[in-house]
Amino acid sequence: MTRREPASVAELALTDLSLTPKWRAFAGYEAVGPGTSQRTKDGLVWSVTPGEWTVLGDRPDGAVDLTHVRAMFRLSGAAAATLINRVCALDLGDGMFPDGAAARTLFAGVVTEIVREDENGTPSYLLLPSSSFSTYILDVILDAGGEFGLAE
Amino acid sequence: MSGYRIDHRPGEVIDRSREVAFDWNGDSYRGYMGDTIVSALTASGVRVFSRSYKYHRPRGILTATYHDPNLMVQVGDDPNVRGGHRRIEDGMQVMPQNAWPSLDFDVKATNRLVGRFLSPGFYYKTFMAPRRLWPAYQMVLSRFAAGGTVDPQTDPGRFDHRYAHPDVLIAGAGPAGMSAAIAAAEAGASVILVEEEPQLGGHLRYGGTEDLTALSDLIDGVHSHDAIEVMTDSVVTGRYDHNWVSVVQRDLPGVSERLVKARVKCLVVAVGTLERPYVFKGNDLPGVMLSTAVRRLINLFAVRPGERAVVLSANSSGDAVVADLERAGVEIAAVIDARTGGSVHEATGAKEVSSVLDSRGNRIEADLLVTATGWTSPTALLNMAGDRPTYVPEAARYVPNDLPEEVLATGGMVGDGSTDLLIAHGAATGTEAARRALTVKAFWQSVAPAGRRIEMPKATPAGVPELDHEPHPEMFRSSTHGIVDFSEDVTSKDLISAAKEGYDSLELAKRYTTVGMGPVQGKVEAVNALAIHGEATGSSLLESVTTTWRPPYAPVRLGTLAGRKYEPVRYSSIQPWHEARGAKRLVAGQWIRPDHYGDPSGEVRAVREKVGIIDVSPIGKIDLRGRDVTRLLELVYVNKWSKLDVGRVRYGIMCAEDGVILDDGVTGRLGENHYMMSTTSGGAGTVWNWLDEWLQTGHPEWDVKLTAVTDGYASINVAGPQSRELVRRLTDIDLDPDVFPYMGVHTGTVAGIDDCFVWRIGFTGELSYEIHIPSFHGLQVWEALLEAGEDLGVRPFGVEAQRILRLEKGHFIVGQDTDGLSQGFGFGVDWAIKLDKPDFVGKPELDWQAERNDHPHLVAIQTEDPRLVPVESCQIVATDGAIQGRITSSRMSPTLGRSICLGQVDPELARAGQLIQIRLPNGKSAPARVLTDHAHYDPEGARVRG
Repeated sequence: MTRREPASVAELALTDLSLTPKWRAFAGYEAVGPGTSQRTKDGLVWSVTPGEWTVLGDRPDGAVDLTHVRAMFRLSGAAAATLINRVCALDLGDGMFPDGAAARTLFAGVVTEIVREDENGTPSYLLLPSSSFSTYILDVILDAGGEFGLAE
Repeated sequence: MSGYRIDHRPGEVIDRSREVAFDWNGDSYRGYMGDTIVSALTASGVRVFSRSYKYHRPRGILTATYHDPNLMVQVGDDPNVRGGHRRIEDGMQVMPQNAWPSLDFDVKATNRLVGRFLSPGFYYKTFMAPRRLWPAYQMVLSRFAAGGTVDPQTDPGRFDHRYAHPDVLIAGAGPAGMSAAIAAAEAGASVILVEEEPQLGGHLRYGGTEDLTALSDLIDGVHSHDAIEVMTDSVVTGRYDHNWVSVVQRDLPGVSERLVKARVKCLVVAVGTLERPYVFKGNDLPGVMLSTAVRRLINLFAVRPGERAVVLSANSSGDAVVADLERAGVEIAAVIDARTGGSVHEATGAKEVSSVLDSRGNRIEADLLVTATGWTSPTALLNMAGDRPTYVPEAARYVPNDLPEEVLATGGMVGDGSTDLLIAHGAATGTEAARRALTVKAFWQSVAPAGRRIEMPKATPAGVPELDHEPHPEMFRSSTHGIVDFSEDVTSKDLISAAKEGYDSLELAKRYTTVGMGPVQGKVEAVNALAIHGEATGSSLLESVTTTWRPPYAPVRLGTLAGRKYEPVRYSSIQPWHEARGAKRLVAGQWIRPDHYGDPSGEVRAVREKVGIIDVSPIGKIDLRGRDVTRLLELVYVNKWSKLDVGRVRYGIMCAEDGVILDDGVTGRLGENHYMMSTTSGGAGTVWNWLDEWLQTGHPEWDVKLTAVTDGYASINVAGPQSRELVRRLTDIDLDPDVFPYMGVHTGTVAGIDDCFVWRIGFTGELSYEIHIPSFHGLQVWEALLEAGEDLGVRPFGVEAQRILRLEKGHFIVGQDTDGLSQGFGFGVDWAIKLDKPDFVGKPELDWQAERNDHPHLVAIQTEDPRLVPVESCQIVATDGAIQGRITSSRMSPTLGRSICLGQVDPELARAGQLIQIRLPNGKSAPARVLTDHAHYDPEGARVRG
């Protein structure tokens, strides 16, 4: 008879996007402030540090290649925020962390950038830990996601 | 099930269509789905559930809740389960605790006969001397310790954590808490509603028809709001700074317990009140129960708690229980009204109540004595929020006093009133809680970078009506003495004698008598203890003392605090290959690395004689770009960088401000304004922070872009005389020694992978190329090297072989051969410390170090007995016993066929040929000699430059 957290087995999808080209730019995206993300002509751009931007797309001038530095997972669906909040203290509510928000935080004890980029109105989060942690992070997601029916 | 189960009750929570079979104390019992262990057993006529802690007196139901001190049982491997709360399940094995050899015949109950000698402090006084007998005392006493048993092999179950960010969190889902939740949700707040019991409703659940109707409406209201998340069988265990609130959830499928850590914008405390026992002779006999316990048994579980009852009533709960008992078919032998001066003098009986002596001298036969003598406000959460609740003598209880802005209280703990009044108070409180929470929310969102801007709520608080306090007589103790603390078997006499012994401070008396220190932690007994101690010392403690309630409010399992065992580990992209080849795992910080592949000596020989490859991906890598990178390098390294050409690498040492060696590594210049710095594997994070800190705080004006790229490159060191030939087969980079000399760096393609950079360095002392490959392709290059080098005799080598190789060569490892006091000079790199540079981090300290010239020196050491490898950290000891240094690294060298060491020694010993004595763990001394050079092998470095 009691209602529980908003979470549904059917509404969770995990995709490994680690091979996506990712770049660290140091200029050119001043309109994207720290803590936010934007779709630009170059691709998705976000910032979590003043003066630094991560760009998904073609290499911007003077950018450092982050492709192999960061893994990237996309977690989508109504239960995504619930699952992330098993291991991450960030307030992912629509008020504080809506589509277009970005943060660097701890995910299961690992420094991870989280970017909210909804897909057709469905909440969706990009998780970018350092790539050497990707096996561990996947293990954590699968362990915490078992309750939502997520399995290998 | 026997004749103690009564006809259907309108509020019952049992499902009579589903019988449940379980064992108690080795016998089979049946109950209904929804029964607690204790309700099912009571329905079957069981009256005794435990033996008390000190006197081993038989104990029965007191409160019939989670907090009942008498109902702790063992369920399977799970000790200290609350029998008044845990619901029965098929096949459950329930055993009594603290009753050896059995519940019925308890030899330790002889403690009762000597009870008058078991005064407070008995243990402290008796088992003090002689001291040598303490181990024997301890063995006997531990047999008497309370509590269940834990099998270490038992499956601990699954425990996890969750973070939540509700606008409003409400502790307690009675009428006020539920209506507060509905009102807060209606005002636009997200709500978490937490209830300790398995059902919503609080006391309404065991009330009359009107209560049940009100409850049904409230439940509908709660469930009609999507913004309310309900957590039943859950408890708010603590409130910390900034409304950080912990909740333990116990009724989740597949999870034993979950710790919810909630950042709450407004906390509403609506936990109601707990009923308080009365202290008189025999007050702990089975059959002496609180009125709410009886009302629960009858109305929730349809269980008749006895045959013939005496009711001591000081309030409406006492009046209601009389009606409940009559409906349940219990004969009412007497109702003693405390409001007109009536009281109970004594309850007597062997294993349970058989008669009651009232204060007027009447002895009444009865097997049940129900008391309704007062309420205790469980104000723990308010105290944790900084409140000091006030004692109201007219109502004989504490009420909230001065709450912070982000905490509100409602319901029975605030005051009394009809159900309608409590609901109205809850609703107004919920509206106000939402207003305060949304004010905070609007502000937080306004400062969050991507936060949605919302309208600030009105500044005017919602009016919350006052709740009156129903007059209640102050009733703590009768004219006789009885149990105050049921968990710890502390009597009123104990408290008074403690006061007479001089423990007139309550804090000391508590620790001396242990009152309030049992599993119930004061919820049941604290107010009585305060009143009785006050009586003994002639002071009114109730009005002057504020109890400090610390989290957790209810016991929390260690597993709940621990949660899932998530320990971050890092793997190189080549690790699966190592695992598949059975490499021994080495845990190096967070990295998992191959220590060796079964034969470290063979791996060393392969490198010395042919060629070996090692996965050194954990080496820290930092990409540095900008016009001022050289200035940064000059600042953080002790050596010079201004003349490093593009295409060259240089070894560097970093010291902290105190001159202590922080890290070392090579840095290469890849372009005019582009450098790649390497650090030790363990120092990668530290160095990155170090550089960033100097840039941000020391030189924000410098143009330097830092990017930590450790994980971006898989790193493979190819070492050995055949390394040039091996790498040549796979790369477009020209490896001619004239084009690519020692300490050079080039970028290019390796094994078809673009954007690699390769530098020629020599940690192993052999000709070697360190290849850094975009990390997702690391495994591909690794396998290509092994394939291409098959005819050259290529072999993978692990960290152990690398450590031997570098020790043969005399290269130190920061943190292994240096320590937290190791300043720069003395480690064989004095040449690198350029005190003529205008400035660098640590320079003043290094200046002084050079001036003092009394520092330890790192030297190569060889034992006279070549087969003896002294373990690392063995000390070097003078003939007079003075410590002169220590061995920092030691191994058997496969290349030299003898033992080799590095060690720190006092300066006077740092001379070639010096004889020293190494003190071994067995106490013997081993003679050894200091070498001329750090290198045991190839001191000229011919091999590395080849």
